[in-house]
Amino acid sequence: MIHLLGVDFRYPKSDFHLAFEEISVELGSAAALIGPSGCGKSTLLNLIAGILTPSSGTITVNETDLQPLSDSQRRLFRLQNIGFVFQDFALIEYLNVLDNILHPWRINSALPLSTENRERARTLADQLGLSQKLHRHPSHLSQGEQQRAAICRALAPKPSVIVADEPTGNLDPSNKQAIVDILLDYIRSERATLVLATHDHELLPAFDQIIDFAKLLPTPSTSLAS
Amino acid sequence: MVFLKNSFYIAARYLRFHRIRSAILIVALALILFVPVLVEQLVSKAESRLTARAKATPLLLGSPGSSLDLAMSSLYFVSKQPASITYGDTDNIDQSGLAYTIPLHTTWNSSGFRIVGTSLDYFDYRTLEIADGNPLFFLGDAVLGATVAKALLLKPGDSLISSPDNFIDIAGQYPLKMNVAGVLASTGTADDEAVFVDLQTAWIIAGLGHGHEDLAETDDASVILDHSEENITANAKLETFIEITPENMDSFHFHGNRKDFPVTAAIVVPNDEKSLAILLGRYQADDQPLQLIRPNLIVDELVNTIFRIRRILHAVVVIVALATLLTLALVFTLSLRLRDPELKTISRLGCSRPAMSGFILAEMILILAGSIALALILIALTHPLQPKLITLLLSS
Repeated sequence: MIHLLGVDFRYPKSDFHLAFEEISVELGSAAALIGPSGCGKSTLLNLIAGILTPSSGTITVNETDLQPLSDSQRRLFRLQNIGFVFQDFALIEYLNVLDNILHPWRINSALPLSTENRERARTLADQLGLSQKLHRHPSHLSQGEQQRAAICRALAPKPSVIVADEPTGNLDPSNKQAIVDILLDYIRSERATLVLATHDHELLPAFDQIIDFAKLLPTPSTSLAS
Repeated sequence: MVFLKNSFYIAARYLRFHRIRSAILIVALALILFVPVLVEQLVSKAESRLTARAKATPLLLGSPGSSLDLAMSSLYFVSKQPASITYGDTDNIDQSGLAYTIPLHTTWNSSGFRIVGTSLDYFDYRTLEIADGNPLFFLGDAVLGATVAKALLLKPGDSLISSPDNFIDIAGQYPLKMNVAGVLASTGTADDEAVFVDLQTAWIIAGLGHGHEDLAETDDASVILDHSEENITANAKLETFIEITPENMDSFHFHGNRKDFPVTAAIVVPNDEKSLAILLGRYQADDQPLQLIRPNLIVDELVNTIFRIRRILHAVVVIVALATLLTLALVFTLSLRLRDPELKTISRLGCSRPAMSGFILAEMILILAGSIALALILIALTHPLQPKLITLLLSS
């Protein structure tokens, strides 16, 4: 379960201010974050992933309170529990698809790269239709293929939480639904949690929970602003 | 250990993907490493080659003028040829009983290599050994330095032709076909790049001696210009031999007094220190038509100049290296900026700052290792060319 309570966040030297009373996403469910651009959807995802820390409030992900954790502990927590999917795919251009999928293991010794992990990466790529493209570089893939490769990278370490920041923003309609289906299939099979920010209202029926930023209750002392 | 392996794996992938940029970085760094090493090696070897040979040559007799030209042409067979002295000049020293002389005639070339006309004493004095074939024995024989034999693919029994002084001057010297009698063992000195002939052979090349059919027995009367009781004078129609063979060797002869024949210089080997001092005193007078020099003093001056040039070269190399390193640092910094999105991505994926620094460091190490490897290859490749480069360096 993801639980954010009384969270208050400001970027340094910026007018941006995010504050709300409470957000909860049940374990094994899919939540869609909607709201206008700049309202704080990406910031909220970064808070859940432990990339950003709020000035006040508590964030609990799968019963782990992120607040008391040090930077390195939060990084380790992120590596072991969070799968990140980006709108711009954020694949590493100089690595081929297989190396991109294995990248989370290679950039941190806390995740040892075993034969089993390599096998899992290949199986996942096969399931997502990338088995013939494993040795291609991202620039030689279509946008749909790039996003599937990025999803493989996010899912390969078997995260318990998927955080997806507008993952369908750069895709055509047929690919949009396919990508969402892949993510939903994963959380159903692995009993993981998905939090996905989107502008695309056509995708919303597939989600268990919709978090509309326009309807979030501000904390008593502040108001939601962008 | 695993982290190190992964860092180098990622760094290698990055460098391979950006192979042109990586290659430029590696080549630039390799040149920074290679050029100073090459210069240092060349200068050091040139210096030791210069000094060793000069020290082994106590005195040189030659015509007045540039003592440096005299030393360079007599010791290393390079530089501008000084004016000739006569064989009689060297003979005078021999007759003095203070020293013996080894004449040198270094005017002619063959296939780009200097023909050194000298006496057999030269081979003993320089402790030159025959690696293949025989020493000089017959008129027209040539003994090749190791480099010459290798470059011209010649062996004993082959022949080579002296290069005419002037192709346009039809009255000039005829080329002489010389028989390769032997090949010297390599010494790493200028002797490797010389074609040794007997002094008389050098004079034949100079046109001071020649061979032709016996005029008293010729059937062709048209070659006789004048016929008296004592002399038979031939005209220009008379053909002279351009090759010395066992059959025509006896017909070769010299016109004029040998004491007047030219030599370029002579190595003078005094009997002792006292003889050396006496000889130097004799040839120190300003009105002397000859000069007697101590080559080691001349070469020491040259080496001092090389030292100064080396210091300047070092300064230039340091400045160029610094400029190149600054440029490389700029290239690296700019590439890091370009990689900002990638670094942000891996940070969000859970990569720590020290780990990111590790990837960059691994790239630097790989580039440096590649540069060192390339520099070593370049050094190894240029190593066999160094004697030639040193000769070029000295001759220029």
